[in-house]
Amino acid sequence: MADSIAINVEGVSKRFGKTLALDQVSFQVKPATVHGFLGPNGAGKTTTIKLLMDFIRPSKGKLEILGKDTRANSVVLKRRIGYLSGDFELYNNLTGSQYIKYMSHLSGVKNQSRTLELVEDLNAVMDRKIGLLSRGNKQKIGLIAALMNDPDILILDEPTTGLDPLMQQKFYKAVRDHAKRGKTVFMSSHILSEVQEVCDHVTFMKKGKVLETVEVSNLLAKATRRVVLTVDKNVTMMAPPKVLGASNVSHTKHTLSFDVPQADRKVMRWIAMQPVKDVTINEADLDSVFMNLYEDEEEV
Amino acid sequence: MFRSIFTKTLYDKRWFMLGWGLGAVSLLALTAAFFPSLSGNGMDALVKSLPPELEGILGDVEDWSTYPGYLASAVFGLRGEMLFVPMAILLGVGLGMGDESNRRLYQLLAKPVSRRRVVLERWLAGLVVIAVVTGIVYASLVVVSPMIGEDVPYELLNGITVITALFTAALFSLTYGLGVATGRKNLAILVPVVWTMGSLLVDAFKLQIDWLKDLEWVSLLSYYKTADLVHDDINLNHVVVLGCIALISLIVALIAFQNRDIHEEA
Ligand SMILES: Nc1ncnc2c1ncn2[C@@H]1O[C@H](COP(=O)(O)OP(=O)(O)OP(=O)(O)O)[C@@H](O)[C@H]1O
Ligand SMILES: [Mg+2]
Repeated sequence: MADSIAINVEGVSKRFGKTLALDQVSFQVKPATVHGFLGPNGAGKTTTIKLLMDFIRPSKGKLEILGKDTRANSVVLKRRIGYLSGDFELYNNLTGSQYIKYMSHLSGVKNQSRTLELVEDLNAVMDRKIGLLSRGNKQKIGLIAALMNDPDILILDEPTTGLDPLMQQKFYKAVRDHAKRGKTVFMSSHILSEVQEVCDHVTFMKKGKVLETVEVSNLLAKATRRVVLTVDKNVTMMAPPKVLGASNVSHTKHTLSFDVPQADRKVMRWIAMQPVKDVTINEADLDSVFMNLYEDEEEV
Repeated sequence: MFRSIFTKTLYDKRWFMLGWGLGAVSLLALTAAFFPSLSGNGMDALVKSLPPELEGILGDVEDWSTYPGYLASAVFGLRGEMLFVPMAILLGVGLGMGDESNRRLYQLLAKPVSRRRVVLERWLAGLVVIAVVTGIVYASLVVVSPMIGEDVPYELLNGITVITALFTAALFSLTYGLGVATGRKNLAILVPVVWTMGSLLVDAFKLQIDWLKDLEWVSLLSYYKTADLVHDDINLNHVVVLGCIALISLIVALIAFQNRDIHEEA
């Protein structure tokens, strides 16, 4: 029953001297899901993750992983947690395999088959000193260290920083595979496409506060579509009428573009009556949701 | 080598051990090797040329004419302090703060290891490093003494080695403890440096200035007097004071580290 919530954060505040980095943060992560943690720079993502990892202690509030207090059960929990941060540092004087050997001993991982599998999958460079590796290759070593105990909870702080697109895709696949096997992934990011691609849920943060936690699929349903109409020259276009709910209307010489909540029959019928040469309707994109969310807040 | 934090730390410090071991040997054993050329007239001249302040630091210069006295005062004495004080502070800062200031502590604490274990294993590794370096010095003097035609003064050498290791361990623990407990590198360096510099001043001027004599107990270096070992056994009070500095530092580190945030920029 305790496991029906993987991560529970309740009324957590964290103060660094005068800065209130987190203000009454609450959210929950369901097991066997990939949960995104999104927000602009300084929103408090890293602070929240450090609190979950018991690197720092809350000024107020409760943090639980798998039903256990993160502080009181720090060591026990870490047997079931994997952690990786995008800007982590490793022991530069060790080779990849020395480092992984060290981490296995500390984790109490006896069976090396999973580690070997990961090395193979990620094509990691194991026999060179870590200090000589590129950022991305270091990241692979870090990811192996995070995944080698087959953690029930994987906590990632902007994990794809410094990875090339190909590696990013491999990384997303590793994350999704992990979740498919019934494990929970909690990852911070400020890359929307990343969240869109891998996450089931997402919690939006801003200035130390949670804005909302939503399902990504719902979010996409709510997202606007961008309609672009191309016309022959010398044809003047009327702006779309208010009833369509269009926003962000813009003209160029040959095009008219606007956003609509949904490309429904009303919209199509209106388009059909225009002297159009071509129409494109872009699929829903989290970017616009994100922008809307943060812009709205700005006005408050 | 990578089975525990303890062994991994020793692996990290292998060049440190070798470097300081060889450095200590070249400074101390070479100084010892000069004894024959200094004994006799050379020594008298040297002793006469020393300013009186140095007597406070170096002990009774009359002793220098015998090999054991020379070992205890000239070979160790100020040279020992000059060597082991920086070594202790560097080792303490390195082991206490290295990982944290390089942001590598996160990866370690993400594994199922308690903070207590991290503090304790690193401290123990530090003690082993000190034991190895002082052991190398001991061995080198055992080898060098017969080469210059002197008997090895084993009893004295044992005493000197023990008190040197203990003094270094105390200063190392103090630096380490301050760093681990507060997460502040500057503080961890400043306190032991100021203390030893202050101690050096107290030692230097205590023969000239009366009220400094009463302050002698504050001087850290007054608990590391190898020159006295020529005539006396190891002073148990000194052993207790140095041991307490080491243990209290460790205990404070264990408790404080348990309860503090890991710092980003240490
Ligand atoms: N050790 C610290 N001391 C003082 N202030 C801190 C400390 N750590 C974080 N902060 C402050 O707390 C706030 C939240 O920082 P945090 O690193 O959690 O943001 P973030 O969401 O991870 O941002 P980014 O996207 O840039 O990584 C910031 O205002 C930051 O300046
Ligand atoms: Mg961050």
